[in-house]
Amino acid sequence: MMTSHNDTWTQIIKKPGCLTLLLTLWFCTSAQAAEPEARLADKHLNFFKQYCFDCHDSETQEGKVNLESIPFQITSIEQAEAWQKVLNALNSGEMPPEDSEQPGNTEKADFLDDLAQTMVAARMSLSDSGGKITMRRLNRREYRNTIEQLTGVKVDVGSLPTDGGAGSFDTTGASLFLSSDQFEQYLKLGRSAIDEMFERQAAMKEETRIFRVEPETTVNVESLKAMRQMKETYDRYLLWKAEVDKAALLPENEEVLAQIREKYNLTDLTDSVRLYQNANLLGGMPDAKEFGFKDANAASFSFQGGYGRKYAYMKYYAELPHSDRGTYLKLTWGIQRIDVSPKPKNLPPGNYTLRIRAGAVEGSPSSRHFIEIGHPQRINQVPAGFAGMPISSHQVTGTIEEPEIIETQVGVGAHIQREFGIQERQPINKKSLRDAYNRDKRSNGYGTPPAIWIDWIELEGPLPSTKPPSALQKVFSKHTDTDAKSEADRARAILGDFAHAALRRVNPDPNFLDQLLSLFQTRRKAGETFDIAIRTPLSVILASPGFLYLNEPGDEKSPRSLTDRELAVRLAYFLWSGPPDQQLLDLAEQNELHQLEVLREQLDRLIADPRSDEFVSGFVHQWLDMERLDFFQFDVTLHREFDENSRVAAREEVYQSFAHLLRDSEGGRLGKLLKSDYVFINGLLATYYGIDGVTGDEFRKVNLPSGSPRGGLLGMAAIHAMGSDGVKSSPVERGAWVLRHLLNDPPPPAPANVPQLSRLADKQLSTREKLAAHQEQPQCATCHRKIDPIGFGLENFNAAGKWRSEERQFTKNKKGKILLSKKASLIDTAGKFHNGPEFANYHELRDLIGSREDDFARGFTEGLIEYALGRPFGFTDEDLANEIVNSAKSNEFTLSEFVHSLIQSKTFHTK
Amino acid sequence: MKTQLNRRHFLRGTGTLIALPALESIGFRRFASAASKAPATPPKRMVFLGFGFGVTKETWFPNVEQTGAKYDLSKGLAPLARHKADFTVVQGCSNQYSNEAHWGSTFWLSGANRFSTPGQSMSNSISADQVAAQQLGQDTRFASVQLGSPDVRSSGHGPGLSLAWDQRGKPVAGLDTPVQVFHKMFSADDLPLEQRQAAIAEQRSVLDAVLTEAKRVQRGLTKTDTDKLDEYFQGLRDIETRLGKDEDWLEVPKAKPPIEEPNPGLKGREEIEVMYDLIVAALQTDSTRVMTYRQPVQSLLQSLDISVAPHNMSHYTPGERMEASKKRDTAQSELLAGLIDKLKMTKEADGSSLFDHVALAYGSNISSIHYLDNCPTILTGGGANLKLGQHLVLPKDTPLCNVWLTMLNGIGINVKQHGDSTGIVKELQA
Repeated sequence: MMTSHNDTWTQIIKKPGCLTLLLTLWFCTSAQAAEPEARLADKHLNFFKQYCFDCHDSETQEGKVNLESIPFQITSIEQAEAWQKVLNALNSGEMPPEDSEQPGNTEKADFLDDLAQTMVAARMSLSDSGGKITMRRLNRREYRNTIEQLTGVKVDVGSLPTDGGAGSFDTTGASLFLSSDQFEQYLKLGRSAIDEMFERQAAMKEETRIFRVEPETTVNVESLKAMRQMKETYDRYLLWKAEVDKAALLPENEEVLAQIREKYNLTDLTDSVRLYQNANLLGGMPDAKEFGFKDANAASFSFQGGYGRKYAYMKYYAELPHSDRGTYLKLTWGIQRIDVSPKPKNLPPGNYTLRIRAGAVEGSPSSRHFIEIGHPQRINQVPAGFAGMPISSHQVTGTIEEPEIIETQVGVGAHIQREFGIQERQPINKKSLRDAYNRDKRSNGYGTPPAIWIDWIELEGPLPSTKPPSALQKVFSKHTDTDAKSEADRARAILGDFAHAALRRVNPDPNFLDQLLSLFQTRRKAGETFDIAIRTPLSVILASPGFLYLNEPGDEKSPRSLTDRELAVRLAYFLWSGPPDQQLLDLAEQNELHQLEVLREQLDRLIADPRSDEFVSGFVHQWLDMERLDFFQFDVTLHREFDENSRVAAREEVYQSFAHLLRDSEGGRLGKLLKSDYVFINGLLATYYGIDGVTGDEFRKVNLPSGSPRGGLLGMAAIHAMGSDGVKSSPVERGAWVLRHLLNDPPPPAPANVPQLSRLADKQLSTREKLAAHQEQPQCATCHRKIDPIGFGLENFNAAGKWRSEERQFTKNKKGKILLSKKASLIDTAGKFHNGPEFANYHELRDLIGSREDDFARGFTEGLIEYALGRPFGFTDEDLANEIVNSAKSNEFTLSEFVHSLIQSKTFHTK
Repeated sequence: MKTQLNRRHFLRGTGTLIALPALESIGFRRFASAASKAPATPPKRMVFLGFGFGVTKETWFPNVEQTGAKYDLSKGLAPLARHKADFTVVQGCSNQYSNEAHWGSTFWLSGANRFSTPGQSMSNSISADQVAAQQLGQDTRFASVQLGSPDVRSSGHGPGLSLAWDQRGKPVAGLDTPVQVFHKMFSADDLPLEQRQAAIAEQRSVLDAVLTEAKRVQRGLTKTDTDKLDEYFQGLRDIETRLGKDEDWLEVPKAKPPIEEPNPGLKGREEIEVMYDLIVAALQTDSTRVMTYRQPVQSLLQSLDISVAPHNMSHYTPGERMEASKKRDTAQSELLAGLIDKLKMTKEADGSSLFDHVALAYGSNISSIHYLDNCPTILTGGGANLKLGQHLVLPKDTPLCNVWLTMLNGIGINVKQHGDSTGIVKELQA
């Protein structure tokens, strides 16, 4: 595998003038199929002879370890364990022992590299399922989508355990478990969906209402009231303060004052808050209660936390022009969120339109021209941002003179808080906003200036559904109570038809229906109405195995072709993460779906349908390990703009770029993900990237000027944010990610027990200097010589994916506040691939990675196979992967060709 | 009745490997009557607390030169000083098959080899707590209770739904918030007896119904798929067992909660503290005798005002990250010390303390950074009759499962082996 290439390469490097050949070789290193065996190259025998056999040959067998007896080809779990021990002993530095001859650093690193890769191959080969596709239950996404198709209700699947783990896709049957708790959750969720469907239906009979909030009559009025109170308290405070000042002059208090000075380490107490906080210690002071304060502390806080802090701010806002017909959103103090909170009963479950008429304040920074919508949160009855993440964010494109109406659709569910709030976009951690406020206040006397003016907000609904009726609705309208049938017959018909739909057109066991019917009848006898009693057995259907599992009968010894119905199910769950629709099932029923042209046509239809967004997000998220994007709250001091809205938009950019290629059958070349001359962004990301002329919330294709660092995954904020810890960039994470996902040369799993290097850690060094230590120890160098140069090549992107050409070190003070050093150092991105070409900067690095389309395609294909078939990619799939890559290659690596080729393969049609 | 017996027969038939204690008790009311009064001697309990990413090697482990009762507590364990005579620190143990540097919990209590099943890239085996639950769980309302946190994805635990894995090596689900735990343990069921009987009857009918369907689905499946579907059957079987229990306990009201209902939304330090209170409450009321807790690390750090991410912290080097790691150790030790306080303060009917009847293990499969050798391990409580108050340094790479086996035997569960155990740890026995 890798070894032979490296060998060839080393030989060529020694000869001058072979650069072209070298590059050609580099470009296709791992594109060739790996041999389906796990074998350590014979040349390593010398390594053993030289460093190990003195103690561990068949004669000595020290520690009962006989390395001569372990075959180089690993074919059993026992052999793999033996080799794992060898690898661990070398990684931990335990072997060779200190007092014996040590291999050179490069020699050891090379050996470890080969052995680690061989172990990966061995684990893969030993855990190869032999092509078996384990039946799987619906994962969370699929369950949610399937329930939605059946009932029209989107349930919150947060109560179900997360899927996957162990590094596999959430479609891998073997890793999708089911427990008794989960079964009960399915019953509960199914029931809540059915209940909500009835609620929604009832709501449809109600009139559409419009709730409008004019903030000048709500927010502004309340603000003025708060200001009046503040002023009144302040006046009392002044009276009290005068008393304190008087008391402080009394000779009897000298000692107390000295104590206060000492306690707070102050030389002078004039106008110090400490004096007033401790005023109760002074003699000759009237009680604070006489001034309407609980105690001295409360009195001084009324100024510190109230008037002194925010009165000027609120006054400034209140007196701004246009405050008589709208309001300015406050970012820090005062009322910061405008709520639309009708009585919950007036907001039945359904679809609503939310409109906001708003304008941006001229001269305020464009990165602040965004509002976010969410469910209001109150802590101890005090408004405090949103409960959970914002639902959406919107760019304010109008001005105060010419406001624009932002319009968006929001859903109200039975179990979701029935009110909405809007506020200026902001990070969840608001501490730094207050720091900025204080800075602003020192310079302008009031605080952070406004950026957005709101005229009004309006909520309209419930609106008629635009979607076709759900399966359950159809069943109910087919079997109405006006039918002459007996009640039992009607119930049975409803249960039978719904089960048929839920089981994806399979008939349930007739005894099952009998049992469901008797559940219904028991409830009826207990006094429930028909419409209520029927829900119990209906929800049982949604917890039954034929619904929960994508089951295909089969025989491992003699694989068979799928029936057309099974094919329809596989296709739909692959590309929609949801059930097949009428058209697919009808084609299946007519036994036409498997025909090549029909299949081609249907696949194009499935991809063109918006439901394939589920495939895009589900697949891409896992393929590119995007889970890390959500791991960190970004440090607000350093990365103020990377708030939840930016995170969402950055993620969306990745999905949109992929979706564009998937749906573009003409030019949707996979390699555009490595480098492209366009980006898919909306107004928010354009502002973030500093690209002019893009406004609004819709993502669209935007052409880039030449020389732009954007375009392709390596130019996306999401990818770089994933390769960080929310504070600093992590060249190691980024380098490993590139190897894993772009170059298809994944480093082996992080080894356990490698000695940690710590001698440099407390020194002020650049990341590059720190990581240079990786190269000293062969156990580290074996992977890091491949990882680190790539990571450094991407250092022009900061932790939040913004472009930078210099870097400033920082330290943290005791309070955890970041102190940036004044000195900036230029970022050096030049480097060289391990055993590969050099690059002078990021652009050259990206070009080199861009030229590895074959490798990228191969890695993508392996992921696609795993995701689609629902089993780990194994050696069994080598031929299939080759077939797909070759077929796509002859079609210029058009993304949809990979998918076509996969679903036409025999494997996809076989159980 | 006929279908019910059929279902039970069927469930028993398919689960050849599974012991079905409660199914053997159709109409058997021993438990209810036994539970309605306090047992003559306080029962034995077992608790495992797992903290994912390991500890700070330099400051958590006591000096290996000082063993036995006379040893100096390390800095990281300093908050436990008042209990020094009542816990033992064990060094030298590890799980030999563990290679996953970020999985602190997956194999911690099972010692399994991830790759032991040909054709599968992930397998596990029963965890020590579930071995205990098979016996200790028979006489309580809940056979075992698993606690977790909504915030465990980046806390260094690895795959799994809790610390517990069942007899087939499948993950056992856990309760992720204090509020959930509280309601499960203590929320009174106000419905009249008849309605609760009817509810149980209905749940049985539901099981009957889906079982019919499951048998249809099972027809013609491959061997692998049959195994997969078996999880579903196992789920039904577990519910059946639980319904049997519910029936046995129908006339016994749930225990009165000894603590207030926790506030929702607790995170980090407070969250762990309240979970510890709930552990005490659940044991004290004998609602269960086996508990595990997969503790949050990320939210713990956040609650300590540490902005370093857990994984970064685990890779500490001298400086900010190492300080964060030490701060974490201290906080965790303080929390554990608080739990021991409460266990000691809680009195049993015979005047002894709850602490005397609990066997508690606290640790992780990850030692520190990416080290999987010398799993940090603290044993406390008098339940397993262990020799407490010592610093025990075992030979390097002693199977951690030897410790679990010693605990299990000590608590009266006479298994001969657990995981890859090679025998008990004699030095641990009092």
